[in-house]
Amino acid sequence: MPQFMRAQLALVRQPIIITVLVALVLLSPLLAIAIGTAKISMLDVLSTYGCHLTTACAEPDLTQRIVWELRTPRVLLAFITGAGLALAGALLQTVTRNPLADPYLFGVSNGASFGAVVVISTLGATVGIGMVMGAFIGSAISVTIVMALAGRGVQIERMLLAGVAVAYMFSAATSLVLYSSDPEVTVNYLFWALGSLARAEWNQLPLPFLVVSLGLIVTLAFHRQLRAVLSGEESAQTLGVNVSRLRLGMLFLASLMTATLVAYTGGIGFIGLMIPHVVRRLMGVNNAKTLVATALLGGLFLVWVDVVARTLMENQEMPVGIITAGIGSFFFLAVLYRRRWIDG
Amino acid sequence: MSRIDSDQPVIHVQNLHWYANGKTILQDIDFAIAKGQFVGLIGPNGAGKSSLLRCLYRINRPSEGQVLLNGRDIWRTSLKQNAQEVAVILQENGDYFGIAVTDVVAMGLTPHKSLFSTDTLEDKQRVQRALDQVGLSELADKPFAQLSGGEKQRVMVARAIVQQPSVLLMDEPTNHLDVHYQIEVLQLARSLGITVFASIHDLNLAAAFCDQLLLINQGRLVSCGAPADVLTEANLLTHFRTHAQVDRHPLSGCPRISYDYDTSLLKD
Repeated sequence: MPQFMRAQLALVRQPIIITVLVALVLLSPLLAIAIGTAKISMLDVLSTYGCHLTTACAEPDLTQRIVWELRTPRVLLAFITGAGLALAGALLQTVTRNPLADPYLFGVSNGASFGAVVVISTLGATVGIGMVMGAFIGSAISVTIVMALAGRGVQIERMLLAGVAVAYMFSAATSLVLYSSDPEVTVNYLFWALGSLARAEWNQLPLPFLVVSLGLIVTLAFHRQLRAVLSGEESAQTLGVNVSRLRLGMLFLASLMTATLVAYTGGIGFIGLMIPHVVRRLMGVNNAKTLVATALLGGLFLVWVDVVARTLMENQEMPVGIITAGIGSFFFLAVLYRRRWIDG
Repeated sequence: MSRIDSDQPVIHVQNLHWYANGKTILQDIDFAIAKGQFVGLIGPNGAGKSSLLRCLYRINRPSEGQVLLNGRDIWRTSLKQNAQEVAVILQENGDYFGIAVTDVVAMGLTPHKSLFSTDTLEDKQRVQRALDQVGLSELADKPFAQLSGGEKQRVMVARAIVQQPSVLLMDEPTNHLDVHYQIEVLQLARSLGITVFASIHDLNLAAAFCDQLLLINQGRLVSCGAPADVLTEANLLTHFRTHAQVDRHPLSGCPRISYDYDTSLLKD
């Protein structure tokens, strides 16, 4: 199909796609909660919620406990994480005007890994707020370094180079700490680094939820400015957009979301690269609708990837990061393969 | 001191100097543009045309002097307020992510909308009317990147129309366009009936379309006034280093420049 026809279709399709996405977002959690090693029916899921909504569930049975205490927070965390990472990717791709930008590009995840490994090796913590804080501080440090080196007017090329350097620096530091620690630390770290939603609990949800909601609200507030940036830096400035300030703000927001989510879920990569691409292909370019769609699709994607992670192997869970990285890298290669004749 | 005099200038550049990296790029520039005038900025390569325009659209901050828009220093108003008054068409356009023509035109709404606001029916009609005005309604949903250079510039004119400015600044809007589109873009800009200040490479086009011309060379304003006063054989020789003969255009009566090519060399 010629590209202009695809673009025309994309605009017409927008309302339809949003409707389908919203329907899927409402249905998927119920389905995803029902699927798993322990056989649970949709009816069980609904009865658990009924019990929690109406009477106080004083003595929940095992099924109800699995639904309420294990799978519900897990599915919610998957949705929030997927939505946040996808949105962060869309923001970075827009403000850097680089369609291959990703939250991990600026060393955020390597910084988080380093922070996490330091906490694991010193405190022995595998879960909990200690590691979250460690990961967050690590990623905050890497973003600060990248931004400090971004130069006047926040130059993209400098930031990308700084990001690569910072990523290697933290990667080396992480290896050093691992090399000099007990094997147990390495195992714990590896489990975290591969990315998993298995540790999700209710009390972990508020912070990711708040941060991602904040991200979505701010993104929607500035959707016009974000679109204007696509016309070029100087051109956007003549439309009244303070491009450097917008870029700095959005970079901070994307980093905040990524750092928070990485801290809770570990290395779940490629969502921020892949989902905005898919949405652009389906719906065209940045407006308020496509930004919402990016968040919804990212959330849905991770909910279902996590279902696969839970059910693929019997009696064992696969780290969800392996699946997203697997799908994502093939996606990346496919994008490059398709573009090889076009952009050079 | 050279000036275009008028009672209530829309743009008033006062004693403007601009230095970059320790070098003086613009010095002692002083002029005013009256409401509704179509003023052309001409000068040889590297004269400082783009730097001057950038001073006017609030990218380059004057090192000395000031730029007044309707009597107010543009650096004392916000970017947004400024964008409500001044639209800019550049020679190069971003074309990232296959953004659609309608969306590019709708960008003109940006300085007029608050945060969170969505496009109203009126906004959409305004975008549609602007597309009609530049004759591009049929390409509304096409990706901007796939248009020809001339179509892209017409889209940028439509974006400027949606922006509802009182001043239009253009930095060599006819660059890389064929003759047909060069004329068309300038006609469109003229048809808006607002104050226009544009740098134009082609001196014959500048003579035909502009009410006034500013000639700058080596960062200084060296001549200004009606095209016939600026485009003299002496100025062409001094500032453009070209021998030429200037007479009247047979159809429009405006100055016409015939360059003196050394034909003996050309045919060699």
